[in-house]
Amino acid sequence: MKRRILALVLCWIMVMSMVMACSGPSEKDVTTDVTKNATTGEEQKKTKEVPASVTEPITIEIWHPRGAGQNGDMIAASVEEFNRTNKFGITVVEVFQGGYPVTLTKTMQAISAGTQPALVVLERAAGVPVMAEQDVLLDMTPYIERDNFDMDNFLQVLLGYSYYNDEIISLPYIRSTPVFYYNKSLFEKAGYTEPPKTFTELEEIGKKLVADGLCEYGFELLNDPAWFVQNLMYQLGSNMLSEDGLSAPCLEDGALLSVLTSWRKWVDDGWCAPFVSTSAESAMKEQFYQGNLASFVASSGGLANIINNSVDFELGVSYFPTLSDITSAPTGGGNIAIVERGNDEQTLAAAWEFVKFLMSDEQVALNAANTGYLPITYSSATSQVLIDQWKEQPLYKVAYDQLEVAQELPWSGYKADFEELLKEYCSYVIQDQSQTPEEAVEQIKLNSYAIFPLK
Amino acid sequence: MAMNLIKTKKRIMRAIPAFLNSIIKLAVVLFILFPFYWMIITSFKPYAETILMPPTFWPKTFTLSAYTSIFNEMNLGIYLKNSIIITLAIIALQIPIMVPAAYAFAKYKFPGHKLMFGIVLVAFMIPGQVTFIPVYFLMARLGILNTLLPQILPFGANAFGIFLLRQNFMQIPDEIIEAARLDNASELKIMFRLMLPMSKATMITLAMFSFISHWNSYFWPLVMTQSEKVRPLTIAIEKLKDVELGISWNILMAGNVLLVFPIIIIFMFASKKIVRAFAYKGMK
Repeated sequence: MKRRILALVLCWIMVMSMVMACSGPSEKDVTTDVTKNATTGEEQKKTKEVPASVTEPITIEIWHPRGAGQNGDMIAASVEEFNRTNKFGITVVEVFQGGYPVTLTKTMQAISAGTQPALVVLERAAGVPVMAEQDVLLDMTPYIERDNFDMDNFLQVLLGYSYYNDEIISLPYIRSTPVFYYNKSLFEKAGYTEPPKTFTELEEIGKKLVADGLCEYGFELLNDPAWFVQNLMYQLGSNMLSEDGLSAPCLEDGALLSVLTSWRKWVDDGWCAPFVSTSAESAMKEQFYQGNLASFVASSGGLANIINNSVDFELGVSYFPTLSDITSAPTGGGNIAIVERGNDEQTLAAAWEFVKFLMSDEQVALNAANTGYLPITYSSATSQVLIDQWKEQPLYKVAYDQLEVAQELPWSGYKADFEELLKEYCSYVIQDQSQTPEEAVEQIKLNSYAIFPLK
Repeated sequence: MAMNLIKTKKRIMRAIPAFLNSIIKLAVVLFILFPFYWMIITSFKPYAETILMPPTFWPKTFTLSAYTSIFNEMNLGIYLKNSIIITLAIIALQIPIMVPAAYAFAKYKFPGHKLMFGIVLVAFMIPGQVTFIPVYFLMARLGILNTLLPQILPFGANAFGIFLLRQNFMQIPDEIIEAARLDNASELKIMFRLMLPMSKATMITLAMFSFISHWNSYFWPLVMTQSEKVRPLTIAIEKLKDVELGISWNILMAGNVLLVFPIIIIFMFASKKIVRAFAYKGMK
């Protein structure tokens, strides 16, 4: 009997611990804790009109997702330069925290524990709204006004996630735009000297490349629907999210169905490679470097690396092709934000100094020249560093030029959930091929009722 | 002649299962060793060769560039030092807690000992994912997040170790303990001079398990640390991947070689003891 009771108790405990582990307690707890914590910065801001300046030496941290290679080296170099030259005695410590999602989670966790950094680099659409809606980011407007910082100098299309409730809560930093990378040598062998402007042209080239046995696949599109599918739908005159962010027009006007149908047809026709399940981007680029894949679209942020690895052929870069006659491209990447909650006035002031430093022409130009990220300000594009680089390697300029046709996804609190849904069904249609585009769109529609608010 | 033929036939028939046995064993060994082999040779290839299709089974160009770039770009020394301090400190902390607890559960009858042992068992059934948030807040309030302690203190009591050691102590006859008591040995002496040497194999096994699990631990340090200077090697390996860069297999594998090397060495020395610790159980 005793044993039985003990066994029952043990079973119960195991079940409970499983339930607790699965229920994901963190989000709510963190949220309530975040709101409970005192908001030192905010209170001070209300009492003072003009923000403080840094008065004594201080050490602040910036958390970011820039790992190894040129990317990690660049932020290390920026920090070193700032620490050496700033007149306030500010020491910035840069800490790599993992990819964008880990950086976001760790920052939220640290805010509720009171161990938050002064600055954080967040994915513009997946990170900034999450933190902005928690009201933990600093409104930089007073600093911008005090220092006559020119907001008009930013490429305006990159500012979509900078404004929230008339506050400036983040600034563009490591921003990119997906461009069309192609194996120029292969294209020329097939008799094409110009990159395709439309998918109709790309289809023709892709089919020819495969038919001539020049490569295995002519093109590949990754499963990143908030970037690629969204852009294709935009070209068809629709969008993934409505302007108010409360619904998905593409489900009603047939744009999603049209894009999925085309994509599936390209794959079925054998010239477009279906994406793989794990490390898809790395796997795709590996195929490209070996000449098995002739073209793909991917972030301009990886350009420096792609140039380094494309050794056996001539690399070409051009605009994102279009499905219609509207040329367009999305933007992506990370914004920099100052964490207000839990940080004192001096920390905030020091953080602003570092932001200002990163936005200087020289830093913006170096950041772009060394990695392939976009020069985010107009004035930096005229700096000698970039002029020299663009002259020497014109491929770097393509992404910057493409910004004239760039479009931005509307701000929406439902973006992450809807994106996940699209991702799941794109893999059913393209990779798994267990559903037709019609079935998938029908399913997405049904599931979207649980995501968006009822009208 | 005929007899001879039958004899050889019999011998062959008898040899076939043994032969098959060896073949299967060899296949299993190859199956297990291949990923390690692949890891090591990949770490010596240049990037272009790591993605080559068909793959090369021996580096065409042999290079140490992956290792030099790891050593040049990262403060590997710091991470290595942290990993070593953390794992050794955990083991050092576990022994003086584990041994008396196991001894008490094995040899003493005190009120509530069954319930308390039950609680120990429960502790080892609760996954770390359930406790990490409260522990994180605890550490934050104590103000020790920027030290190595959050990676050490929570593992001071090893419930699995207490359980395994208790089972082992129970096999040691009470007469030996009584004889020692008659010779005026203190309880401490009995524990550390008598019981411990008799459970050497179990102790080594436990130290090994602790070492491997904390050396390889990724989730806990990821949550508990927020600056470079307190991070272990596992987190440093993650940094070798970058959002835009993708995966450089040679560099990643070089990092992994450095990560698993100590474990392989230790396992080579301790493997016999581990087998004995478990085989001993079976005999009882």
